[in-house]
Amino acid sequence: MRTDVIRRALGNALWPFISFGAILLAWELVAQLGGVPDYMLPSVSQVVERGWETRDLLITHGRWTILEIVGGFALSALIAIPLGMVIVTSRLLERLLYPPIVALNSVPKVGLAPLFVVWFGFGMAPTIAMTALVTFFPLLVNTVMGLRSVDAEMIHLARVMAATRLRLFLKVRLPHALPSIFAGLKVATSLAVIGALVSEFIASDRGWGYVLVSAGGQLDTALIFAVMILLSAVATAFFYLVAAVERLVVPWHSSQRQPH
Amino acid sequence: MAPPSAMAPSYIAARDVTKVFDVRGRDKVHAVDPIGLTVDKGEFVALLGPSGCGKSTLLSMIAGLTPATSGDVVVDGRAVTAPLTDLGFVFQKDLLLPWRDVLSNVLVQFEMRGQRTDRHRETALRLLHSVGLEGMERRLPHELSGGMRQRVAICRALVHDPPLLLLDEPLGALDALTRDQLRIDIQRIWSRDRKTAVLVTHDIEEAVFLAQRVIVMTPRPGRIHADIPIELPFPRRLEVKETPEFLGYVRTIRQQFEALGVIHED
Ligand SMILES: Nc1ncnc2c1ncn2[C@@H]1O[C@H](COP(=O)(O)OP(=O)(O)OP(=O)(O)O)[C@@H](O)[C@H]1O
Ligand SMILES: [Mg+2]
Repeated sequence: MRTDVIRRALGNALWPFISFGAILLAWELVAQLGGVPDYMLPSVSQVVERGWETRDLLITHGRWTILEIVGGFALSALIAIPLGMVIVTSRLLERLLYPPIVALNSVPKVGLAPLFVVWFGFGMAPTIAMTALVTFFPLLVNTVMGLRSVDAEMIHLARVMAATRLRLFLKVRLPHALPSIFAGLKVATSLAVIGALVSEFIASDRGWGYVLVSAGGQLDTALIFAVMILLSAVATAFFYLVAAVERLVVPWHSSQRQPH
Repeated sequence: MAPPSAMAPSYIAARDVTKVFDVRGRDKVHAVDPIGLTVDKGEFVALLGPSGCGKSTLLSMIAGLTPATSGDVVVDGRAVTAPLTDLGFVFQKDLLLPWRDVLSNVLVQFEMRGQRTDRHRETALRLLHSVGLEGMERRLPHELSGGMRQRVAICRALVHDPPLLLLDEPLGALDALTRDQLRIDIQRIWSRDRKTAVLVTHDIEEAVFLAQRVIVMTPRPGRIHADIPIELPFPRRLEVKETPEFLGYVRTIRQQFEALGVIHED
């Protein structure tokens, strides 16, 4: 039973390994034999080498960026999800709050990065604010949609079972909304990485975003690639972390069922 | 002649109830035209009518879930102005909570009422066993067949032993064999407890098999076209469907629908 699970997991991991390996191999061949100058396209080995040389720098700045990503994401979730709950419970609040929030969402948010420097200064604060901002809307909308999508007959059933509004919320609406909320959280993981990075480009002298900008200035392409690979790894790990929590919290949902 | 209110009070009395849905930006929908309906205590009544004739709306008004546009509904001597809670309601969809197992989906009836569930576990288990769900208590809804799920929904509607049972096409989504089985189950449960029951259906056989009275409704706006007592003795076994009496009732009702233009041959 257990070994079976492990074998299946290994089997699942095998195929992406093969495709990744093929991509890296092709990259290495093009870089080595394709006559592309190193500053345009460094080879895989150069990238690995450069990454290893600069590991202390990458770790220090990486910690900073990861902290911002997680901080902004958490801040956003802590505001957006409860706000979604509030909006759904009251028609008045919904009419009052939802339209302006939807309108604000159409603002291209990364354009606000310079403004955030003015407001929050330089460093971690504007980046956390930006990360929270770009992840806010999908979290709010998914919460609201999830809470609202309860079947009208289910509400009728709850009413003849004498459910109070609170019990209806806790025992029906909220669990029903969890898959949708998690869908929002998963979308937000990749948005959080983008938000943090863009903000660091202009509002920080720390973090991988800052490293990217300065490496670009020095035509240090190998370092750019190294950082991008690390960023992708962090984004992927973040996504799967949220997905793992989802599996724990909503194991009953159809999206979590393994096809046999 | 004495006015109706002076007679032995019915358990359910709907007087000149109408329902008009006024959806903004669209024409008004007359779902239910004046309907007068009485159901005695312990009686099993079927509301039979074509799709869209207002059966669910009427049931929902009896339960106090939908306010009537005019007229009034009295249940057990009290005017219905808010949702009734001393009843069991089974809908066409089973409405099981997918994150709760079978037992917990039945016990939710008490949880929603803010009551402790532990003292009702035995009752819930007994009910589940009586409809053939022993050993399924810990299953999640998605692990059950449609018929099993609907049985759980029926148990949920019965577990608090309500005096009134409202059934809105509870078997509509099931295959013929499962439907027959569940009809037998419903009849057995009703014969045992003699709860007042109103069953909405558009299946003539189902209405005749289960009910003591079949109320035939017209197409929308729904009115009562005929009120037919079914004088077949209980318990009714499936074989009753082949008896001339049963077939006679089915034919009579079909002729009513033909007369209404609901069914036509060409
Ligand atoms: N909330 C609503 N708003 C507007 N119209 C409605 C609403 N609910 C029902 N109706 C309309 O009222 C009419 C009667 O609906 P109802 O659901 O009571 O029919 P029914 O007899 O139960 O039909 P079925 O057998 O298909 O379930 C239909 O024409 C329907 O479109
Ligand atoms: Mg209906």
